[in-house]
Amino acid sequence: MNKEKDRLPLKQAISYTWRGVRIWHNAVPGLFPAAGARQALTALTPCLPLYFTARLVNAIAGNETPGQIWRILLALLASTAFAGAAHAVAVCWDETMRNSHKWPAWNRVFFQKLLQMDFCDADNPKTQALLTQIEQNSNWSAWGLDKLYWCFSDLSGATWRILGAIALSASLFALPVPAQSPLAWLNHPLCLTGIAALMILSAIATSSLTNRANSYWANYDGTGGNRAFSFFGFIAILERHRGADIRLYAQDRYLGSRYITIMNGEESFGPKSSIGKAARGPMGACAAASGAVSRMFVGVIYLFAGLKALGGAFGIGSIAQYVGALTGLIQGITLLLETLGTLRVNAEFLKPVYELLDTPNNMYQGSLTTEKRADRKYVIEFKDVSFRYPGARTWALRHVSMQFRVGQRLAVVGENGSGKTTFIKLLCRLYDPTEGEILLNGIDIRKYRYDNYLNLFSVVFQDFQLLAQSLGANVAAAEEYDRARAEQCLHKAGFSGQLTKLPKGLDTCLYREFEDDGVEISGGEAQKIALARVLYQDAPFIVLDEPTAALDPEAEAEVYTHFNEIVEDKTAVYISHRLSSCRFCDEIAVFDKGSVVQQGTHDRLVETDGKYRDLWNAQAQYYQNRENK
Amino acid sequence: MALTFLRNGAAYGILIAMALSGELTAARFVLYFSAVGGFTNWVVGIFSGLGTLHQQSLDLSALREFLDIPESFRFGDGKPLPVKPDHLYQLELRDVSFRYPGAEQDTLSHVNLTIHPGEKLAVVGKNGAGKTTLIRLLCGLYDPTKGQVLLDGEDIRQYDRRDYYAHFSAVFQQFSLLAGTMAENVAQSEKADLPRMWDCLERAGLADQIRALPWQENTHLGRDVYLDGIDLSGGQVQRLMLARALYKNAPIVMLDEPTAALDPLAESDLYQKYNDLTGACTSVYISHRLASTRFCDRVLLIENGGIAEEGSHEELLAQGGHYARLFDIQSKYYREEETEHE
Repeated sequence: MNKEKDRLPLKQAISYTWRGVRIWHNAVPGLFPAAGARQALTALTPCLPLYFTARLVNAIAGNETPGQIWRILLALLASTAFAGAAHAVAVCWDETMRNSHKWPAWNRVFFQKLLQMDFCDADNPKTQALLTQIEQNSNWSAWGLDKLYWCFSDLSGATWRILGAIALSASLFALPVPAQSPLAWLNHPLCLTGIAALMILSAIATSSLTNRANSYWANYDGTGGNRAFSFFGFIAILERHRGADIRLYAQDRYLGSRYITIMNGEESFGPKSSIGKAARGPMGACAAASGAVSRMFVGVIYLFAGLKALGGAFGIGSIAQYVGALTGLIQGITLLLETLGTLRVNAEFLKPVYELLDTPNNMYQGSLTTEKRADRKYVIEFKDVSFRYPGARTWALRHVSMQFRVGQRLAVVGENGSGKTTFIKLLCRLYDPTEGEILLNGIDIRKYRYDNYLNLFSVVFQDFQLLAQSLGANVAAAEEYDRARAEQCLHKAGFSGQLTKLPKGLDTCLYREFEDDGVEISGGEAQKIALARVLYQDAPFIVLDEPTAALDPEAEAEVYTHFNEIVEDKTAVYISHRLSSCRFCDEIAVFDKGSVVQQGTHDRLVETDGKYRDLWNAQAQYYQNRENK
Repeated sequence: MALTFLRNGAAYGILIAMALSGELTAARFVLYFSAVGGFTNWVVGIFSGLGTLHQQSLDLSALREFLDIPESFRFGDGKPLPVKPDHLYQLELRDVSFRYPGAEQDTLSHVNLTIHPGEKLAVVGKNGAGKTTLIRLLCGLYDPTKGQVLLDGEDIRQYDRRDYYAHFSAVFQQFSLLAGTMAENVAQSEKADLPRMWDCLERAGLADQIRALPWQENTHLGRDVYLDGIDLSGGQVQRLMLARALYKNAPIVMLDEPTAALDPLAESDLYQKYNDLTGACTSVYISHRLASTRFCDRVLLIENGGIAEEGSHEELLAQGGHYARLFDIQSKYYREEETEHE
């Protein structure tokens, strides 16, 4: 799909580009110097042999003394050797920067921002969309920050080439044909200006033609085709968890057919796509014309230099030097203009990058510290809290008022989508309420220091993640930890049986991303480790969201029986579809469509007509008939 | 660097000496001089190219190793096995043992199991006991290390494996969602039989929700490819997978924890529909929720690599073995309330 990008005003493009350069420089200080050094040496290294060879040939043709000739040869060899060595070192340095440092630095720039952002922004689909757009622009054609590096490389290369070429070719124009030669007209200033003008015109023509060709590419949004290509060509086939379904549902037929349809379609990048057709049409024509113009100019230079040599302005050997130098000059100017054109277009792709990086932190952060209380007397209260997700039309929570008693075990139940997880997220202050307030010991939680407040909670969410680090590090959420405490927490979580079976104990690496001898852990084992992690943190509030979903009956019963040990004197909030867990909680809150419709103990609620009784009976009926037999 | 210096020095030195002594004209000198320069560059180029080829070939060998993995299943060279409509199949595991590659012990050992035509079988057991392995062997995703899997008395290894797969409708814990429309995900094809699709969505309890979507069944699932796609919740995805299994309408149904993400009301609804869902088909149902086993004809308890107990739900409770104990553990919290009432 082609869409004309609205061009950014030049000033803005420049400031965007400059900001990008500063970002890179902060992230990888050596990146640009390495590229500059490499380009400088790559441009200048051929100049030396050119120069000395010309001198050498002139010396031989001019019958200079052997001593002179040998000296020139020595100069040629030595300079070539040193330049070559320096060039090799610079290439090595640049390649290392390019291959090992650039990509991780690029990732880090975005990761750091994501971690710093308020959760409500990080969780927002808009942010995800921005991030996806940035990644796709980069994958598609290195648009964005990545392009800045390549452009800088090209710019340095172009500049050095131009400088070197000017140095070498200055004498082409300066050295006059001896006046008595029939070709003396070559000395005429008009002739010289003519050649110079031709050169500049040629450079402009070549680069504008190339920029025109590139504009088709720049304006083409191939990210859609790229996404399809990634999914149907790779993801859908290679992801391991898809294996059984692919076979049982013969998905290969569907995937194969979709892949071919998409790749042959307008929007991809195959031969039949709009970009493919452009490449065979106007885009290709521009590129060809550009090449033609530059070759024609080389022809003119040969003519000029040859005539001048014929006329006696300089020796034969110098022809090669001048031709080489001027060709280099033209290439340099062309590259310079093309790169500037690319930078202009690229500035547009930097917009989403800065939009993401400039996301403000809107959550008000107070400065009160939550005092470390040994008695754990933290009272949290929801006062008429209502909440709506950003951009959503429906309310996720409506007029929720609740007070948590210290040391209380609260069960939260309700159908899917009734607001249970949202409630937890507000409790932990991942989001701020849209209306109403949440109080800690009578003070609005917004007035507390955010990190202090977060530390009051140990949470196991439904979609918790364990990292591909050692078991102990996962439990402690830190690289350095108290081993005895970690083991104790694992024991309380019911993992000690599995722990003894692990060869490296706490040092066993989870998953195989980084270690070959890492262990794959099952869903149930992961849940136990997550539970241990909560225990290690030892915060006054524990929140568990469906902690036994993947556990078998015995493991689940273990968690229930040890719940007292696990929770001790902390305040606990327990969300579960397994209503059996309500039996050991002091209080139950029943959510329905965003409101707390019932609250009380199990005994009272099960006798009352209402949601709780419906939910309870729906499950209990299958377990109760035994007595009736 | 030093070598280059020497090499160039020697070549050029000889040429210059020749030029000085008058054997070479200046023009010739230029020719040979550039030839020497060119020659060395190109020879270096050849060696560097060869080096790159060698490096790439090392990388390629990983691909070659992958492509050379032997295929132990029969496909085109197997016997065709069309699905017989309205036929109830019998599945049998005969003295089956299975060990995962690289494992020290068998996961399943000397298992004998006959699933009768039209039988509804429940499989329970601890995590890691081998329930999923059992299902995979029955589906033909794995071949047993020892023993045979038989369909209607015939070893499945002789058949075209694709034909065998066509006999199964499955909802596993890990599934493959397609970046296509809802309809394509149910029908697993670009052309969906719409009346049939809506019927399956109704039976899975997802029809109203799909109808409420902006483009209904043409809404894209997920944002992997199409930016206007929507994500479904865990429970909705489970129902979609159920609808997919129903649409396929295969004679043998395999369900692995299909209610894990559903709330109690939705879960109970599914149990009620279970007979409806599986119809007369032969079916296998894995679950941790022992409540679900009462809808099945027979229950298997997998433990220590084999079938530890088998029988109907009532028989196993009467036996008072491990199954009875598991049921007790789970139902304890639901039942205490009754005793309090009495």
